[in-house]
Amino acid sequence: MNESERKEHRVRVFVVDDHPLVRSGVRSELEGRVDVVGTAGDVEEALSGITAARPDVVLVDVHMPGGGGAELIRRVLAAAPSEAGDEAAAVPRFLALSVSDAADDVISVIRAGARGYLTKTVSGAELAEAIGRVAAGDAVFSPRLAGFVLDAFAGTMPLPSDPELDQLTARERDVLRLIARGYAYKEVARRLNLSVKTVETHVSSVLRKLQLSSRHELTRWATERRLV
Amino acid sequence: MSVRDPLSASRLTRRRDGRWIAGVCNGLAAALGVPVAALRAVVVVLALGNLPAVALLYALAWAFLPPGGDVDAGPGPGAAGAPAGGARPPAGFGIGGRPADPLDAVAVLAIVAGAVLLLGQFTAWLPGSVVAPAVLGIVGAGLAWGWGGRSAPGGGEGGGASGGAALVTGRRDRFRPLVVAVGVSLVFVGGVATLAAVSDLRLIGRSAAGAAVLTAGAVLLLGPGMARLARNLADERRQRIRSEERAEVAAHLHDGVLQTLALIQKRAGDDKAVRSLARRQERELRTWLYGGGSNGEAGEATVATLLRRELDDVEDRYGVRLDAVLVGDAPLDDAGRALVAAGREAALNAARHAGVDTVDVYLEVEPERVSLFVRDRGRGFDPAAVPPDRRGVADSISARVRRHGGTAEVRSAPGEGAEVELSVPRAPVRVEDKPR
Repeated sequence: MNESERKEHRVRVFVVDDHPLVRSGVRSELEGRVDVVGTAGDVEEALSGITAARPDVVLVDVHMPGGGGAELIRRVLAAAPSEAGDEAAAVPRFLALSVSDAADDVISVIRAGARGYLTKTVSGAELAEAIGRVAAGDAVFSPRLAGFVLDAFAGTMPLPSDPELDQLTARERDVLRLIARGYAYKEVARRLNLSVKTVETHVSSVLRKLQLSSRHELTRWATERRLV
Repeated sequence: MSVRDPLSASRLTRRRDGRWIAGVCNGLAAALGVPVAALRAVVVVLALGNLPAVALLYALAWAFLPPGGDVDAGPGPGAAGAPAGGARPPAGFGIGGRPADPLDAVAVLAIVAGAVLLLGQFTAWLPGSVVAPAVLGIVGAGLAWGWGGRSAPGGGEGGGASGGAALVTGRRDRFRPLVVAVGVSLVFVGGVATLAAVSDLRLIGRSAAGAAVLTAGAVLLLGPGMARLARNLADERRQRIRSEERAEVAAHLHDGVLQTLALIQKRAGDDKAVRSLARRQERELRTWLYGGGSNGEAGEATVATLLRRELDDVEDRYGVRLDAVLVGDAPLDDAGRALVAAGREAALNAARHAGVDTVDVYLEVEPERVSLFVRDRGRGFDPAAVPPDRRGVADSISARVRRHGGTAEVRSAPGEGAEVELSVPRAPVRVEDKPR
């Protein structure tokens, strides 16, 4: 969907979190910014809820009983028709929300298919903006996620199996660095003399690499390195 | 072993109630579920055919089989009358405490077959000079195994029976070392004598088959008990580790989280105090949960750990949240120390003057340099027109890193926040210091 369509109808959001306190907190913070069309407390409940409510974006907690966010994302995406054609709008997009700082949590939920990762300390306005971005098909990188990715892709592998997927370009690295330093996309664009759209393209491409790269460092790194 | 165990009636033991000699046939019949009279008839017939073999087997069984239940002894008198048996071994421990097992029958049959094979060969092909030491060796093994092997649960043997059984147990205990020693030396002597007597190597090959069957039987008999013992020990260990971990979690939650929650409730009116209490607890819990022990410990000094410590301190003093993203790490050297000190000043500045409650900090360690960024979205200032007091601070920041060949840059504009960029070159270090 393009920019003008997005303005017309508010983004439909579904919140999945096992803590009722968080669910109601997120709901009230998003009040008036997006439409919260449903909430769920575990994976099973979320699966039926998402099918019924057809949200644009699902906010998903990383840790939940009955399988975490990664599990939910995998099952929804597996059940959904292929992304091509008219059905595209029916497949919700996922944004992970968590208090966890464990690198493997972050990487696993992104690799399952989440379009972004935010920590729960994020403000309501930032969250709403991120939801809009994810709904439009872009990626949302918090400073911490950017740091994780830089760390994961740091150094060079002797023989990358797929150079296109296994390495970041210099430009992508620049963008990620600025995000890790706390810059918003708009600020990144101004700093690097790029359009916001270009910044979004770079970030989406990094996300794709993160999801598709077979780089074994990614998984090894995630288990070895437990950043605080 | 214990008679209180309902399974013990069908377990392979010697039964002294209604025994003729040592209760071997009696126990065997009970374990196999055949009438004792029939078994005895078979044994007598066999003995008529080959008395030495049957006698040896009987002696073996005597030595190997634990003395078993005088079946109908009630639980009461057993527990009361047998102090030695009071401490019943946990179920599944040792040979004596084993429940009935079909393997037992197989094992006994294997031992019988092996022994008959062995004896048949010896009596047919060998003079008595070889048979005698061999018999000696086997009986020795039986003694050593039957008495020594059950030493651990031995205290419980006969415990369920009666005071008399306890007395027997006591005597067994007293004699155990002696019996085991005798058994071991018999094995040794018998083995040496057999080897000396067997000059013909072909014979060793033949008797090896019998010996193998015998060994297999012994393994079958012993194996399950040993395996169970090992499993029990592993279970126990796992259980202990788990409960220790639980205790540690409980202690941590109590010391840290509960105390903080209590403090927060008491000071609910004080916005700033509540926030800083919560933040401090969050930080601590995160280090504990995700730190994996390698972070925050005073032991290893790296740029990242030092920076984290300094930032924590600034957070505590000013109640500002410092969101730090750290990429890579390096051993601490003078340049790193200067960088962190300058970074601390920058963070203090932002906390004091920017008028925001969040400051972003980013550390990146690259092969040739370490960079540190401190950024706020506060009120900002015009770097060209800084009041002298702040210029002084800025100077002290940049002087610190310049001394180590680094650079410092301050970017800011009124209303647009500020960012301090610090960078020092890394000393050419050995390759091992940088694994990635």
